[in-house]
Amino acid sequence: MNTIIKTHELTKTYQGKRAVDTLSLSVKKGEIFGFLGHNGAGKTTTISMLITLLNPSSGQAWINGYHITGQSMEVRRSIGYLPEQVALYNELSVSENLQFFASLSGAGQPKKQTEKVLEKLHISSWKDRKVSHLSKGMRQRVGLAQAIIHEPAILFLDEPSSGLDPQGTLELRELLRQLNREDGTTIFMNTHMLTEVSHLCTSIGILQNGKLIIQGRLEKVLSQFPGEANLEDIYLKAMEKGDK
Amino acid sequence: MNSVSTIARHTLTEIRRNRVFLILISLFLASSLISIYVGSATIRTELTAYNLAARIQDWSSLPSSHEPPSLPLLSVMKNSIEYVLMIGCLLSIFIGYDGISRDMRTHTLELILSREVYRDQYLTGKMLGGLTLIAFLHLLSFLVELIALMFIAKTPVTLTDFTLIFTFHIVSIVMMMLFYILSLLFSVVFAQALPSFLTSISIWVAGIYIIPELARSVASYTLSGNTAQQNVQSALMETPLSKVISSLSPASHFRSLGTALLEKGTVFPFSSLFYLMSACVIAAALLYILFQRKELTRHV
Repeated sequence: MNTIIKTHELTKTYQGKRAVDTLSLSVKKGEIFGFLGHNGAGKTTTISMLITLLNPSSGQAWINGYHITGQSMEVRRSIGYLPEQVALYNELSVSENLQFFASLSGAGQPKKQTEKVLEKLHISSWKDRKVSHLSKGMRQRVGLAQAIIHEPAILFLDEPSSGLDPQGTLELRELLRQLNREDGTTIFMNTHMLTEVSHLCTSIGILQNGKLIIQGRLEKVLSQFPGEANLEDIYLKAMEKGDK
Repeated sequence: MNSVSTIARHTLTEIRRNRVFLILISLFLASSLISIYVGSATIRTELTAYNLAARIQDWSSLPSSHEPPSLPLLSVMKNSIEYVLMIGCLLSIFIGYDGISRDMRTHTLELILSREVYRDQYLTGKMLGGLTLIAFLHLLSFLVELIALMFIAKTPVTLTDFTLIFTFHIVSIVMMMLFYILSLLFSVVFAQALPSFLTSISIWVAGIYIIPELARSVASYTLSGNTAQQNVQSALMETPLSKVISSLSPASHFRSLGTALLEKGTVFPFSSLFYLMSACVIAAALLYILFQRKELTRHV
């Protein structure tokens, strides 16, 4: 399998503090990668650099073979992004929101693309509803629709299940699985929900204080900790190890 | 270019759906009508007074000592100058003060900039959206004024009048764009609605009222004559200091442009137009520089 996300000693410094510290990781095409870490570990900063919103202080990264600073437009063409707080225009309808983002993604026919994605996520019946009238779970689904409207090769999700009820979480998980299976979309997901990772991800990375302390295929990581029953225990053990 | 026009269209849609904005538009258009109604009523009163005085002099067989009042046709519109400064500039602030900070706050800016959109394209789209809206408003106002001049003031509009009114609206667009760009600038600087609004309003109050008043007060303190009559005359004259202070206010430049177009219709103060346009360009340049450097996300 080809590497689709690669970073080499990626670093971001804010006022002398290293939010991301010499991060080197790689994610292969078609994987669902769970990026774990406690709050403030540097997960969102990493995603922000990978989607070209933030310039790294040092280090390199490539997305789909394109350099994040030198070829930012090619990178943006390859990615979809769903932030932690679903960012949509409340006063616009679902369809208007999606058409707006489709136009910005250079989609030739924004209206057609919008209908296609609404159909795909089974939300065609919501198209004329104002976003302000949608529940959190529904908004998350529309947010996912905007992220995949231009059929990106890689999808970046920042805490996608945050604030969702169990039903919403299950539905979102199923949608992501479907995207990965049917379209071959690589998914890079920031999360601190370990159950989500164990149910969905094929590989993981654990970040602590900006440093990557573990990375690999999920089953390989599990095998590194014989005697630990679940991912939760492994996560805690890895954190302890990192502290030392 | 496609991204720029998409953002411009979106900016227009966002503003159009805002109720407060609709109220301000109605006020702006109503002010065009009121301006002409009040202007024509004032002129009628002045003419009636003149006619009355002339008739009294005729009866008393006294030689005429008063010149007929000089009332250029477009002086009926002179109130428009103040309405643009009051309602027009406020409207510009209203559409700009949260224009970018709102996208930052709701994280839609992150989404937009994770698409194939450069930061300068986003800003150009925002400015184009605002410019289109302001220009459209002035087009409406222009039409309302032409109709009102013909039907309320009952004055025929010549090609020269038409050109002068049109030029006045172009100058007004520049004036309103200045406040729109400034409020966008504060929106980027503060990334929050309230401080951006308050700062924009403070600049507006200072530029429109405080600085011109200060210039006037400095002028009135420079009494240098030996007699009371000389002092009164010198008090009415501008001093170098008052001129400098006055030149800092965009409103002073706009007033002199408006007066030249609507009242005198002759000498056009190009330096004032240059000042307003330069202020727009400098504010826009600052906006681009600051926005390019702004870090949009600081989560860890």
